[in-house]
Amino acid sequence: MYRRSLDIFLAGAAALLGGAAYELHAPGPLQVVLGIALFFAPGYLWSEAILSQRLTGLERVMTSAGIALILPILGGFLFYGLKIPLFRSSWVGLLVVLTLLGVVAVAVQRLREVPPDPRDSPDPRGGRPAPPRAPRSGLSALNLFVYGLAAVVALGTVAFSVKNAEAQKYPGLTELGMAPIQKNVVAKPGLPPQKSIPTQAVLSVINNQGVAEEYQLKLLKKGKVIKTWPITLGDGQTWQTTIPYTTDDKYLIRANLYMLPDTKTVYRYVDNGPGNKYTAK
Amino acid sequence: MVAMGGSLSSRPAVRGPSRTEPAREASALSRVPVSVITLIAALGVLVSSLAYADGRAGAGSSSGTGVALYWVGQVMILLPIGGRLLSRRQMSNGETVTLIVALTVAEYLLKINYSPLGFTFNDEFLHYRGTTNMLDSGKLFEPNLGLPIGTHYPGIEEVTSALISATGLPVFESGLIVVGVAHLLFILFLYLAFCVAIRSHRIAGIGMLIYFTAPALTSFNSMFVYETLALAFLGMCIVAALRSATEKSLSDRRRWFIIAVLCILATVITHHITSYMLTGFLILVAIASRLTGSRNTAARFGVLATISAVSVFCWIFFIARDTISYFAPTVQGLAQGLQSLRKGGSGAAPVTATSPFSNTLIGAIGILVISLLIVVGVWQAWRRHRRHPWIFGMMLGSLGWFVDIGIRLGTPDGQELAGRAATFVYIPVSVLAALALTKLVNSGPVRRMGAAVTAVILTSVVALLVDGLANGWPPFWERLPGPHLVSSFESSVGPEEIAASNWTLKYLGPGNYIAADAGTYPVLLGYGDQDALQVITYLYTTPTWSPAVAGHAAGQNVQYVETDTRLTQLLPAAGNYFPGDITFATQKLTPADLNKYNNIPGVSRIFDDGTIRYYDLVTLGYVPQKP
Repeated sequence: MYRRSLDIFLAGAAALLGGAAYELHAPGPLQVVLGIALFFAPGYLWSEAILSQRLTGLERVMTSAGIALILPILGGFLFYGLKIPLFRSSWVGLLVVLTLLGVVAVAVQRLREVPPDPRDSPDPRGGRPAPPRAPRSGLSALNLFVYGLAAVVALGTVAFSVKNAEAQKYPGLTELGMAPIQKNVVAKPGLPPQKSIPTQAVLSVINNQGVAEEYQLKLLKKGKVIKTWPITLGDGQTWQTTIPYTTDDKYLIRANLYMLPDTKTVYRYVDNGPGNKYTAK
Repeated sequence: MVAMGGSLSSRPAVRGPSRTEPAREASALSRVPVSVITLIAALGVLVSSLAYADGRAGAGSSSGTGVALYWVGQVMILLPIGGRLLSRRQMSNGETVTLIVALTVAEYLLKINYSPLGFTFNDEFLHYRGTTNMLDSGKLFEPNLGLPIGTHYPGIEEVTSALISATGLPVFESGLIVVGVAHLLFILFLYLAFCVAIRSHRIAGIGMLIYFTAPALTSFNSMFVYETLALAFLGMCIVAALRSATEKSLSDRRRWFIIAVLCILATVITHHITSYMLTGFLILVAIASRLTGSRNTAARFGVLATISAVSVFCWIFFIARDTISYFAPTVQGLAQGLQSLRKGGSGAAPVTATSPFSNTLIGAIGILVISLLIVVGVWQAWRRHRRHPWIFGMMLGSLGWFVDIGIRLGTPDGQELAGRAATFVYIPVSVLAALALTKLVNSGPVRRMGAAVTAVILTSVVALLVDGLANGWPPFWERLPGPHLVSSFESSVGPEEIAASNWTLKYLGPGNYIAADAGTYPVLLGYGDQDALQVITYLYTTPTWSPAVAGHAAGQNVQYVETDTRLTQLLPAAGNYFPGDITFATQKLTPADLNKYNNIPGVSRIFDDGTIRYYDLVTLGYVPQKP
């Protein structure tokens, strides 16, 4: 009995631990392992519950994985019907509940199970002759070693490719943006969002040069510098500030970015677009 | 391994290899242990991954060494596995499964290794956006600007969201796990289906080998797209339906029937075309069963086909009404193309990027060889198995191959449509081709001539597999990852495009109408959640801003325009600079075509990273009307 129910206990435990890992914000690798177990546990249990007959190991793995992929689809649709929002907690709850229901279903199934009909047995002692078997290759230690080596090589290629792609040379870049702050007015279907007239804009600098950089940002109005910011950014860092903005076409607002030590050449610029009347110096 | 009761299995099994006539010598590969073949395949993955590294080093697909290395790696994967599956040496079912798994995993790893840091295949962006939207909003049918139809088929987003929630993994890693499992399941379920129906794991293995020659299998069907997941359900449904018809006990038949119904529902929710194909498949086997006198099988498949058809109809009627408008242009184009073909004219299929002659040649030979194998397979099936409902159904289904060729040659977008349809058409084709190949390999003359002829057959099959890869995706000009190419699918997706697209979402909000080149377009849809526009070439082909251009832009509600200085330096390898443009670009854009936006009164320059710029056409009043 214990041996027959071991799989149920394991699957149920996986679900509870997976749910607990989510609730307690377990460390990344632990949550990944338990989360994968939680994701596939309902599939195994419902495969056992629906297809209680003896399947080969491969068939059991395949049907379990297949049902594990089906259940979130049907469960999500059920939640949609019940108007339950599908946030992370809902998905985890769904998987835990499906697993626990699966535990009950398999337990009931096994309690009600009648002994297998010997005529269905492929055992030669049963009524039906066993189909001829192909010679078994057998997994010798050497074979296992070779398979293991193949797995290491194959997975190693992924690690190699990740490192290689990360090392691929791209020209570094610095992004300068001046985005008017606008509220979306309700849009009609088939039309883009209509926006309010902006009075402010977000001025932003993002450093993706691969190394820390020093910049100087000058804000000009009608060609005169009204504000200067010295900016130092590490790789991947963002600097931003809110500035007054106008759509009056008489007032050119322009931001010139310089990459130090060169303070003469404009490295990037953005403007509010009344025209190109004022050339940046 | 497989159930043998019921009406299907009461038919005689497909004849296995004859042993009455001893082979002179099997191929050398037949003596190599499967574990060693798996190791060679893994080394093949390594060699091809080294080729990818060579491409990334700077030369991309123009590196002759890199491309040669890539194909050496592929041959290391395909040749030993193909040779072992085709060999007459008896293999256990487990060994056959191991080889099929090795082939599937090896090709999937190469797909991962092509872009191991994030999604780069364009369709994957659309489902990245769908998944992100679902996780952020907690709603099932959130609008997806890049794939409006996908909004109503949320299966892959649901599964990925559940995995992300349980594991805490990002969308990319979770997506790789979901599609990896789904892809492998599809292949294995298809193999199981072949085994259940043909009752020979050897012929089923050869059938799967032939199935791997389908052009989209190792590329599109292993991407993070909804069809990949739906195919797993299709495969599982076929097996469950066959088992529901063949199991001995009524209880077992009912249980498999439940699984088949669950698979039908999951397929209908996940992907439109796959659900139609599944319905068609169930109808096909039901008809074939009726014609061959297997009433029990016909009834089972008939009920399942009805459930599938009703589910599809209800889904379209109640949830996904836009499916009809989504497919209308494709169906019209197909009808027009086929009509013009019937009248003897050209289908006016537009010329796409010119493939190298070798790819075209190998593609043509592939069509010829498969067609011949189908003819031989049909002859074999008719002679020996015409009372076998599954194989009879496959005979009928294989006619789809010739329709597929018609679509390929005679309709607009025929190449792409035929490639996508091949996923389904190749199922019956593989069965018949496997029957033909088995007959060929076991025929007296071939056995007498020994290893030389086996080598020729193996070479032909490997050539077919190479044909599937060469004419699949990615195309020859981006066979290897490498430096940035303008407006050219995966080769145009890099950190800069992703960063610029992320900027739009962060600072402009989602859903803006943005005109962009074909390289940035899918990234804006996916990472940027913007409504990137098609057919916007006119914005980039005049050196000045004219009232005509302004009027056209206003008519299209263009809010922002993206420019990329690299568009003035290179021609697009894919053929077109802009999405929706069907004319080949033969001249580079001029700097004035792009820089005019710096000088138009009222147009703001809101973003600049040195290469990519965004211009705001609307904030200072709408599109300016004066040049």
